[in-house]
Amino acid sequence: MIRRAAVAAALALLPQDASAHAFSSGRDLYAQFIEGAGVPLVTPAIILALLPLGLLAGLWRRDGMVQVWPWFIAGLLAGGLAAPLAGPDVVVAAMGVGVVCAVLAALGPDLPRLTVAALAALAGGLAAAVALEGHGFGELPLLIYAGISLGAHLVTVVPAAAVSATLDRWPAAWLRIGWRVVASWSGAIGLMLLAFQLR
Amino acid sequence: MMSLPAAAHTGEGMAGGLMSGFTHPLFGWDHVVAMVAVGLWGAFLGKPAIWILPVVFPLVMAFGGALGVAGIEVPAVETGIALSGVVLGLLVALAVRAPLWVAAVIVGVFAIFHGHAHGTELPDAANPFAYAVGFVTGTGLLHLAGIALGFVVALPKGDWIVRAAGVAIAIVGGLFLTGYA
Repeated sequence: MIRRAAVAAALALLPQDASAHAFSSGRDLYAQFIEGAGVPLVTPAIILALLPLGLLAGLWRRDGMVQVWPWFIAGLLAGGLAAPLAGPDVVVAAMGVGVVCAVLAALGPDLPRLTVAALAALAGGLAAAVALEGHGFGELPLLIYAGISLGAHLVTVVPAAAVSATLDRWPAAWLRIGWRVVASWSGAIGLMLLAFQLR
Repeated sequence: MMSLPAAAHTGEGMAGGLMSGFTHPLFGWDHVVAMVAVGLWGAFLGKPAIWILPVVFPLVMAFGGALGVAGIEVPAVETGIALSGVVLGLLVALAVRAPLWVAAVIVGVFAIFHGHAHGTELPDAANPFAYAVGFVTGTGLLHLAGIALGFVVALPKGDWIVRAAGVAIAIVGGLFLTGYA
């Protein structure tokens, strides 16, 4: 009895794999999907990487998000595959890319398509890596991966669509500048949080 | 074992961090007058400066805040903050119409001082994400308030009202600079 308790205690004290998000929805398929979808919506590093990307895509061109969407999806897939290799520093990298996207969106330069596409792939990849960091490939139920993909799309596509739709409806200079101010604020928040992470 | 008084607003957690960050720029007259002065000056500078300054300022100020959070020293921060009130107030009072890049440099330099002060004064218990969101939003809204006040310029004698506000801002900055406030 004592030996069994000692073995249990030793197992409990063994170092566990560090995972950014411990998924616990069990066998309920719907709960798995919702739990996955919630991760990008509540993780500051993912929000601060993807929201500025959406703003950048929407401000860049009217159909900017559509143009870079395949790159974004490819980035998500690559990030998911590379997540087992990612360490905690991936959070810093994701926020760094978010700050770059926010600054570019705020300053409003005329960017080549390749630059925005590369940022979409990078931000998508790092967001997936942050969401799945510490988890082995295929370790989680498939619906959690699907949920994470939906959540990441929501954080990116909704702001991009909001920018494009409003500028389409009211093509006024003040509105474009208003969105650039929003991008500037998101970049400022990202910059401060980056400093907190590096402290 | 002694019971401690229950406090609703401790600065902890998400809501506490948000409130702490939001109110931080609002509870210091030296910060408030400078933020409002940026908006007022924009009214005299006209387009596109009136909108460009609020795009540039938060990013530069966050850079200053990041330096403060990281513990990187910036010399004479408090003097720089007080001086920003004096300089920006005088620019408004004299209705100086500087080129955009000159205005951006002046505002940007002062933004680093303000951001650094906010970064170093971060309460330990605050949620960093919520604090950053509240802090940037509070600062941005002060700019927008300044810009809104700046629209008074369009009214008859409005430019004199805004210039008088500039004098008041310069005086407040001067009081901080000389240690009377």
